[in-house]
Amino acid sequence: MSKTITPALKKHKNVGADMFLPKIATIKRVEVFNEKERFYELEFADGSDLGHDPGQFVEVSVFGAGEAPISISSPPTKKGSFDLCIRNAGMVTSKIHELGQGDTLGIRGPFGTGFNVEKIKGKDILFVAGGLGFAPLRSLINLVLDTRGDYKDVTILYGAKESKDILYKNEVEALEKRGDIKFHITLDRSSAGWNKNVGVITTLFPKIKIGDPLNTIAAICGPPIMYKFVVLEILSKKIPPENIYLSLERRMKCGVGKCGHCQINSVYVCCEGPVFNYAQICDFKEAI
Amino acid sequence: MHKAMTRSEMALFAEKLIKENVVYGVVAKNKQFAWDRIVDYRQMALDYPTSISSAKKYFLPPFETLIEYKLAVNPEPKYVNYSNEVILFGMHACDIYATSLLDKAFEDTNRDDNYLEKRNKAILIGVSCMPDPNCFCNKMGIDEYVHDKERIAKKEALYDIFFTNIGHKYIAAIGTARGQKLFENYACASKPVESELELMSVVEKKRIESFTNGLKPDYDEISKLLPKTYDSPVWNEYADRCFACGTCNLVCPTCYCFNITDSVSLDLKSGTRNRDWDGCMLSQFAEVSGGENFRGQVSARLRHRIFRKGLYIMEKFGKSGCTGCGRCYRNCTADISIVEMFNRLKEVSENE
Repeated sequence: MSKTITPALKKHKNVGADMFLPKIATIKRVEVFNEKERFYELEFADGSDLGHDPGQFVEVSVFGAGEAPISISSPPTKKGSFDLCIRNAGMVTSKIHELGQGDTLGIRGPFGTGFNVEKIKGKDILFVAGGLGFAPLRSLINLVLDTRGDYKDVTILYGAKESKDILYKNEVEALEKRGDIKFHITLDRSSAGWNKNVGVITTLFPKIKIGDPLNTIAAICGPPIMYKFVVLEILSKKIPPENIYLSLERRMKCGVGKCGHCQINSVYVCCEGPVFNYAQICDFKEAI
Repeated sequence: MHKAMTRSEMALFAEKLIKENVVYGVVAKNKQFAWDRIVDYRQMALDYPTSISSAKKYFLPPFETLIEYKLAVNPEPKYVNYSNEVILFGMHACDIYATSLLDKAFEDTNRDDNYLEKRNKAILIGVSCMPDPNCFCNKMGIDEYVHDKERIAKKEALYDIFFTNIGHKYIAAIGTARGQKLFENYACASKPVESELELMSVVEKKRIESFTNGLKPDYDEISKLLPKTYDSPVWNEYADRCFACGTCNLVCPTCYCFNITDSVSLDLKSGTRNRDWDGCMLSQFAEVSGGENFRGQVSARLRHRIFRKGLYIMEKFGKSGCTGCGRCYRNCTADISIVEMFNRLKEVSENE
C-alpha cells in the first residue's frame, strides 16, 4: 500500500516498544530458606540500580517458561543489586528454583505503586507481616532501618506457619536483638525448641503499645485471609484508615495496566497498587 | 464533505483496492457473516445485519508475538511486531466505536506499541447498517460519537471513510486525511445532489426507528444503576444459567484482556513471548499461584464483566464499554440476553 497513509493516531512521547522487553539480570547469590522459598540477589550487567520504591514489584522471566510477578525484597538504599524472595508455586517459579549463581533471568519493571516514603517520615511505624508477606515488607523495613533517624517508634510483627518457614532467619535474629525497635514473632504451630508466641498474628496485638494512633503508620502484607482480621485489630487501636497501608496480591500478568487479570473492581493493582492506602480501597468490595 | 458513488462505482473502487492492498471484509458463512480476507469484490458483503465477531482480530490478534529470544546464556530478547498495512472494509458503527475504545485502552498509562503499530496500519472503512432484533447501539451513544461532526470536520473521525447505503447509491463521508488520500487514489465519485442527501437523512431516520430491542436504560443510566445492584441476588440467577465459557469475551468488540505465554521452537534454540486473548469469565482469570481465586464464583465473574462494560470503562474513558452490538447474546451458549439483564438490573436497582 504505497500510495496512502499518514498515521491516524497521534505520536506519543513515551516509547512503549520495550514495555514487554525484559532486561537481563545475573543471579549473584542464592540462599535456600526452606523447601519452598529461596532468596535471590540479582544484578544488571551494567551495574545499574533497579530504581524502585519499597513495595513495588518486577516481572521475572525465565525464557522459555514465562513471567511471574515478584515483589522486590530489598530497600532502594541497597545499591548495585536487588533482592527477591521466590516461592516455588508454579511453572515459572519452579524453573527459577532450578537456577543458581551466575545464571540469568529477565526483569521487567519496577512496576506499580509502592509505599509513599515521604508521607510516613517522622511517624511511628507498625509493620505486620504474615508468611511470604515479610519479603515485600522487608523493602520498607530495611529502608526504615537504614534511615532510622527519620522515624519514631518502630514495631515489627511477624507471623509464620512453622519455624522452618521463617524467612531471612539471620536478619530476624538480628532484628530481635536491636534495641531501637520492637520485634514480635509468632508461629501458627509450635515447633521443638520454640519458646516464643504461638498463635495467629493477631495474638501479638495485646503485646504492643500504640503511642499516638494519629501519628502511627501501619504497613501490612500477608496472605489474603490475614487482612480482614489484622485491619480490624489496627482500626481498634484507633489508627485511622488513611494511615494503614496494605500490599495486595493479585495476578499481575502484564504489569502495565492492560491485561485485566489483577483488577479489583475498577482498579488495576499493577498500576495503582500493589500497595494501597486502606482509605482508598475500603469501599472496593473485592479488595480484602 | 460528502461524495456520492453509484453501485458500479463502488464495485470498481473495491476491486481496485483489493488488487493493490490487503483488504479484509465481511463474507457470508453459512447463515451468518464473518470477517475474512477478500480477494474478489463479489465475495464482500456491504449490506449485512451483523458479523459473528468484530474486526478487532486484525489489530489485536488472538495470538501475536511480542518478543523473540534465544535459549542461550545471553537470550538477547528483542521486540518484534509482525504487522501489515490493511484495509478493513465494511465496519459497522458499533465496531468503529469499539476500535476507538481499544485505542484508548492501549494508549492509556503505558503505550502499547504492539497494538498501536498494527492499529496505525489499519484503515477503517465503515458502512451503514440496519439493526437486527438484538442490536441496541441506539442506547449506547454510538452514532453520536462515530458521526461527531466536529471530529469529521477536523479530519479526526474514528473512521477513515464511512459509506451510507441509500439504495441505488452510497454516500461517502471522509473522516481522515488518509481516508481522503485513499479516496482520491481509488474512487470515482461525484458531488451528491440535494435529493440524495435528503435520502440519506431518510435512511438514517429509518435506521433509528428500526430498533426493536426493548432495552429500557441507556448507557448513562446503566452506569448509574449498576452500583446499586452489586450485592443483588440477581447475579446468582444469571450465574446459575451461565456456563462461564467465555464466548461473550471472544465475540465482544471491546474485550481486550489477554494472557502472556512463552513458546519454544522445536530445536530448543529460540523462543517467543506471546500475547493471546483471555476472558474474565474463565475460572482461572483472577487466580493467583497458591490457588487463591479472587473471582472464584461465576456470579462474581459475570458481575465483573457487566460492570466493566457498563461502569468501569465508563469511569476510565468516559465512554460506554458496551457498544450494543448484541454479539454476546447471539453467541451465548446459555442464551443469556444482555438486554434482558440490563432491564432486570434496572428493575432491581429501583427496588433497592
